[in-house]
Amino acid sequence: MKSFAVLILGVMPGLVIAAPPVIGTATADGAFRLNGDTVITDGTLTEGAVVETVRGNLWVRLTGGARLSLGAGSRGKLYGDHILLEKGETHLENGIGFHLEALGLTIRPDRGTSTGRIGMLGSKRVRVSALTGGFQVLNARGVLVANVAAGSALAFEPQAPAAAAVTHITGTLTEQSGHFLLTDQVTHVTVEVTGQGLQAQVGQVVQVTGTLNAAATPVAGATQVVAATSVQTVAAAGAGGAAGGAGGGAAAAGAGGAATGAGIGIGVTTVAIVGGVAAAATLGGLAATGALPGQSSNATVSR
Amino acid sequence: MALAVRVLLLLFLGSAFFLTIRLIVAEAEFRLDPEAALRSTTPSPTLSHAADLARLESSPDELRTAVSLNPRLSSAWIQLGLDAEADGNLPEAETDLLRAASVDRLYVPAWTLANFYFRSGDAAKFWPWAKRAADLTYDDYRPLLRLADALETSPPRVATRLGGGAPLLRAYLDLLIDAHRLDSAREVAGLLAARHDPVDRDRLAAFAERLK
Repeated sequence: MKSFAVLILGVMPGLVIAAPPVIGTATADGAFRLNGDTVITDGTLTEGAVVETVRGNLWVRLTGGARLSLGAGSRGKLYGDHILLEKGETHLENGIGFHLEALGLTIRPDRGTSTGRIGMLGSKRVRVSALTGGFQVLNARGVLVANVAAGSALAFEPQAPAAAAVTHITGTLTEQSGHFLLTDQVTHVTVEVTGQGLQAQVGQVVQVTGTLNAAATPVAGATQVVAATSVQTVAAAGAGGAAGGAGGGAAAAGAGGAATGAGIGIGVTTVAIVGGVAAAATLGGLAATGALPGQSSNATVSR
Repeated sequence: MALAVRVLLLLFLGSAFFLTIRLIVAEAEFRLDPEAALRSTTPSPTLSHAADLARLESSPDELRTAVSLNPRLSSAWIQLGLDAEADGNLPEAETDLLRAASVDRLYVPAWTLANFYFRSGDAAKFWPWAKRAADLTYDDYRPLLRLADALETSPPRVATRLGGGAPLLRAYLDLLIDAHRLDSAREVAGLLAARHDPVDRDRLAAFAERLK
């Protein structure tokens, strides 16, 4: 595949001037749309090419080595190092140096061999399914909002800009050299938590609601610092129900409308919010709750 | 005996004629509306199996098997060619794509070869295949025009190299107008106007109005 890139770039110096850079080829069983035109079987991709499928899949081979396919009814804008997914679903393989963007989120494989499916769920959510290797999901500001491990799938819904700094996570609080760390059970993101009364919660499963402190540098092992506005102890993972704690749900409810403060519990419908992006396992997660922060819902979820 | 031979011959010719007509109709349907043709396609088990062999996810070995069983399976030759290109083997890619064009004289192999030579930067080989694809285009010239226009800076030369037919000129004019390249569009409009086809009167008048 590298030779493909070298070949293309090496033999077409004249094209570099006259034509937009060639970034790869697209191949389909039948017809597909390329830059708004109907193309049959295959076509040449240039930087910023818009591809759209109607029926059947579209296979894309990029000169950088990435290979991906778009499912039926998908649309995306392709660049040499990323695709802006607008509709439908894409399957990525050989994605080294390549990433996907959807709804302002950046989804990138954590290794070259990672393969996965990234699809739009309606117009507000994105589903990331990691098949082999993992994927990192970052928000529009570049903050890590989830590590999607191989064999798992998460759905994401960016919140309103006003709630972009809101974080709501659940996990076991640990202490490391005087710093408090928590790895969220849904997103597998490790954050450094700051706030009052944390020492008493060490070793317990807690729900933390707070805001991202972008100016602070996290301790080693964490990717961000969250200033807690609410810390609640959870009875046991999967048991549901809150066991009280330092803060209470009111503060969480005020944080970008993210939390209801009622019926808090972790289970199949747990929703985490990291960096202003809601995330949940797709089985019983966002899909099951039907509504997310800011929307009306009677579902019992952890927010 | 002679009668039996005649009957067999007639049956053979009749079958061949029917198959030829069916293929022509299917090709025309696909050209006119690829999506509708795809929706209405109900291939026979045999054809379906052949198509399966040439599916894009097939391995090169499977594709080689397919073309050894049916050397006229142009879709498999095309896929082999594109695979070879992706692997950096341009000579083999060219050979496979030319093989597809030799067994299938319709639009797709010509279009694929034009793209291949475009990506390879081989303008000398690009233009004959682009011209052939233009000759075989039924409806949408725009993808081909985009490639040709990216290679050649002079719109009149692009039009001439692609045959300069009226449908192509109309598509080219519309493409340039959409791209807000009005100076280039003016040149193509001149070519179209020189044909004195009444059909183009409104199109040219609208363009002239836009230039005011």
